[in-house]
Amino acid sequence: MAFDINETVAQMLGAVKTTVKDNWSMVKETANTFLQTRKDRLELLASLRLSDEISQKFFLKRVADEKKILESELHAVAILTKAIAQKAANAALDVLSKAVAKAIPF
Amino acid sequence: MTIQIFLRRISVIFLIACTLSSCRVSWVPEYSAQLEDQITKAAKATDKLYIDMLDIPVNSRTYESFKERYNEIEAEINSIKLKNEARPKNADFLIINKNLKEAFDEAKMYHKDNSTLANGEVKAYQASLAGFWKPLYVAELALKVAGKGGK
Repeated sequence: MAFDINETVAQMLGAVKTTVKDNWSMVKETANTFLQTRKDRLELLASLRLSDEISQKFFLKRVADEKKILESELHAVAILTKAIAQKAANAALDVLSKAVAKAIPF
Repeated sequence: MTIQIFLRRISVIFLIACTLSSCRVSWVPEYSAQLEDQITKAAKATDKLYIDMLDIPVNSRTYESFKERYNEIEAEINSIKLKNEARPKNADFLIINKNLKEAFDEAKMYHKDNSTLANGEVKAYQASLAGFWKPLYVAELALKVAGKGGK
């Protein structure tokens, strides 16, 4: 069988698209969950401060924590997107590998 | 077909197959079920530490009475950190780990320095530390995606 580079590239692109499409909702859901839990946490901290259950100094420390939590969350999302990209790239390489193997005459 | 041609073709096929099969990308560490389990248990232990504090009177909530549990959780965080340090492609994990460790150390020191914690402080630490654990858990679960069919 002849090796058709255009067909192979199109199939590789298709593999990338399918992989990204199938997993993209995970990124959205993860980001939304992080956002919702941040909202809940900030509500709790505000209510604790308003009812004077925590001092202003303690409250400001916990708000500073939020910056660090956000940094961690962004790194978690980065890991998720890299994992999806890795899966997509390897799916494309599988297509190429199979196309080359088919084209080799026995 | 002579044996020489046959052997040459087999060699070429083998070479191409080897080249293409090794042509895989790897941008994240491999998923570890053991680490996922360890993260879940340590996060649960942190949560329970503060739940149990809320269950007893403020004056009984001394650092001394919770010291052992603080140390056990700290050791788990250090163990998770060590395992992540040994993995390739670990840059994102190390930052998440560092933030968690610093936050836990601060919470432990605060309790130690103040000898007890008020209800509001317990609730705030419980929520903040859960916020630090979650990205680590989510990141470990995300590695399953890379492994599924892709690697």
